[in-house]
Amino acid sequence: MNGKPNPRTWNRLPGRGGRLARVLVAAGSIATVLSMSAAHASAASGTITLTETSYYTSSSSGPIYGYLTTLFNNFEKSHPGIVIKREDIPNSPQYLTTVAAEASAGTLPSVLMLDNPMVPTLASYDVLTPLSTLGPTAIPTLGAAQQAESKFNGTIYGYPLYTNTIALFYNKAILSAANIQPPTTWAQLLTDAKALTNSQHYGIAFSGENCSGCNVWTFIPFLLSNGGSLTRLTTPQSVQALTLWAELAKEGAIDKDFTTWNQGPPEAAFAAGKAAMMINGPWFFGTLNSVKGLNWGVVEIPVNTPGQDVVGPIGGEVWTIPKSNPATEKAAFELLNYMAQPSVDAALGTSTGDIPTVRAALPLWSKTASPLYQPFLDELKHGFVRTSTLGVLYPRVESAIGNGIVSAVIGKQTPAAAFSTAQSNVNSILEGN
Amino acid sequence: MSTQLPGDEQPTAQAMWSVRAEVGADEVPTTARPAGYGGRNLVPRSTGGTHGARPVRPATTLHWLRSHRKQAVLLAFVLPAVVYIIIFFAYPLVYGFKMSVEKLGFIAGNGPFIGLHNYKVEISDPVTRTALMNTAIFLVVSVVFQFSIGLGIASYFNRRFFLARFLRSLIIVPWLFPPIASATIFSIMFAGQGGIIDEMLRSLHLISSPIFWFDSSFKAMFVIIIVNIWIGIPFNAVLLYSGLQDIPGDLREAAALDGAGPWERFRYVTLPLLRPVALIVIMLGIIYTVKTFDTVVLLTNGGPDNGSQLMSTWAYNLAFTNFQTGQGAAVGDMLFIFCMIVAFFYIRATRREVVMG
Repeated sequence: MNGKPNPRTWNRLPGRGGRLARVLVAAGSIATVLSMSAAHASAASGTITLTETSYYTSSSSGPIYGYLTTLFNNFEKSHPGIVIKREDIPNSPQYLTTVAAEASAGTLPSVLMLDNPMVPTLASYDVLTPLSTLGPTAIPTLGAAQQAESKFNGTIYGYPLYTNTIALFYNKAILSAANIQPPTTWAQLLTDAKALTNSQHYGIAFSGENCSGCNVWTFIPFLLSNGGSLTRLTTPQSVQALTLWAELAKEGAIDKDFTTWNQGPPEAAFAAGKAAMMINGPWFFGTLNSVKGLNWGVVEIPVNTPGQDVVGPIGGEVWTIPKSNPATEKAAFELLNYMAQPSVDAALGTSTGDIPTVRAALPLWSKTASPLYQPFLDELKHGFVRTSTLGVLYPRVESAIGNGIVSAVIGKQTPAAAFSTAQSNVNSILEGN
Repeated sequence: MSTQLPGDEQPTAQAMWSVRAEVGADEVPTTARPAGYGGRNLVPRSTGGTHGARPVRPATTLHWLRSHRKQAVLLAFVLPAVVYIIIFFAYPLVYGFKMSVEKLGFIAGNGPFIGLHNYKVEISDPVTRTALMNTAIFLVVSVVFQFSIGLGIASYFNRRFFLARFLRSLIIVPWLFPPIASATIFSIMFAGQGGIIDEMLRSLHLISSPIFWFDSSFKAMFVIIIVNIWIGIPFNAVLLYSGLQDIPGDLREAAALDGAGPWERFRYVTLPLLRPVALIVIMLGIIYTVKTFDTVVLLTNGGPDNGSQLMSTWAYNLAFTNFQTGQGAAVGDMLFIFCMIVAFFYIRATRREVVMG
């Protein structure tokens, strides 16, 4: 569902279990919606209560949950009169279902974290506060590409405080045993993945399921680095990218079950030594580091022709302020600006496993950050904001392309035919049908 | 109806309601009952029901109050069920229909009315047709196999043998598992890499290379149907077993004495007597299968390329993945209409048996 499809929830779940969590969480979300309305009714005199909703929960989110507790406590100390009440919901499709229900009931929290592709959708319903109405924003302090994440129709609706993308992870032991260097081109990737496939492990693993933040998110670097486009799928550049994926599947270099995988199962396979390489994001660094005897590296995603720039899809969450009343919105804006301070943003980056977006935070963050982040930083120089041109239509276009990808990799259609079908579906979406 | 008078007909459903309302109110003369209460079945049973034997009292206000109090009592018994049905069935149904005729996106508030546009779009969508076809196949194959395997198991346990009771209690275990747990276990079992089903087939030398169960619509449908059958068997077996237990053994014995073989005994004695139970089991099986959602979402999520999409999962994907809430509601309502059509034909085909049973 996001660039970083709820890694913190999913990365503990083996196999296709990710979907299990989503179903389980549905019940919980409903309970949360019911309890929300009560919370909004309380408006203590004198103090302003900010309700905050993110998908960082104590049980599923690792260091970021604890760091936010510290951050909010510090903020409350330095801002007497403002109290923060957390109403977090585990990440799943039901996070958005809950947000949608709250938006239609007018009970959105005062501070709402959204996966970045969802910002245009929410903003288009006029439920988010344009931040410039609250004062000067911290957006100019962010990296150029990340600034785009916060915008819908040129208006700023939130702070993208940390970011991520995906790169190629490789198992050092397996590659050196086969005397193979990490691939840099598609041709090498295909040859190496085939050579690294045996009864013990597949050559590569990545997400191939058609779900939010799954196969299309993983496919974007291949598509865009080669000059393809999400809205021009029948060009040779686009079809070439899909052909590479279809070849990997046809040659058996990837577990063909990957069409049922979100971002979790590839990590499980790679961590267990059942895949020599994988495409995934830095949010798994913590989990991979805890696997005993696993020695791994990261390189940029291979390109078709040497010299092409790797385009990384830009992941990460955006902190927004739903419309409520001027006093609450102002207090929420103070909180967001507090979070955008370089030292705070650096810590947010560290505790999410992502990369801080405030430029002045980067040097602070990189003091402790692993050098393995370098390929991600390089790819983000040519980062791609998924909603930059498609806006509110992105989720549907993503689903149409996702079907095309699956159709080609299972051999139901040739890559050209699959993308031709997908193109006509995309056209019909763009025409407003 | 043991108190029925000789020659009295079997009371209709409506009359039975009225009879209950009369309990403890035998001082009210039958002739003074409000219109609509009429009918000879309404005669209070406890009095012996001699028509017009009592003197007719004038219709006083007190009487009307009393008769209304009875209606109020009647209503008080029905009211909780009515309120429950309105809140939890009627309202969502009407609201769902309202959503399906509106242009709705991510936020489902009040959208502009667009008539049957959502239905038109979805009927012309090939995915909806696939989903409808898949739902029909899923329904028929699941119910047929659940029932026949369930009946086989029930007949088997209908004999007395060593450990029969213990084994019979084991049969119900799959029914006790939450569907989510079953589906997760099956998704691990059907994995192409290290899945136990693949390993078994390979060790039996039935296959040489792994089978990837989720890379074609046919295989994906096969998997979800197998899982659904497995989940449904215990329910069928247990109910049919209790139905078989109710059939007196001497009937079969008599048939055997008359020279009927095992198949004739089953076909002409057991099956007809099992019919009422069997019809209920099949109806519940249909209801359970049509609304299947969780196992399919977990196993295939409708994939690959919508190949195992059912109406239930497609409605969900439209509404909550594509944020086409209005169209998702339209597909949900189409599933509802599909169920109504199935129910209509089913009830029409079986009405006689159900009443007789």
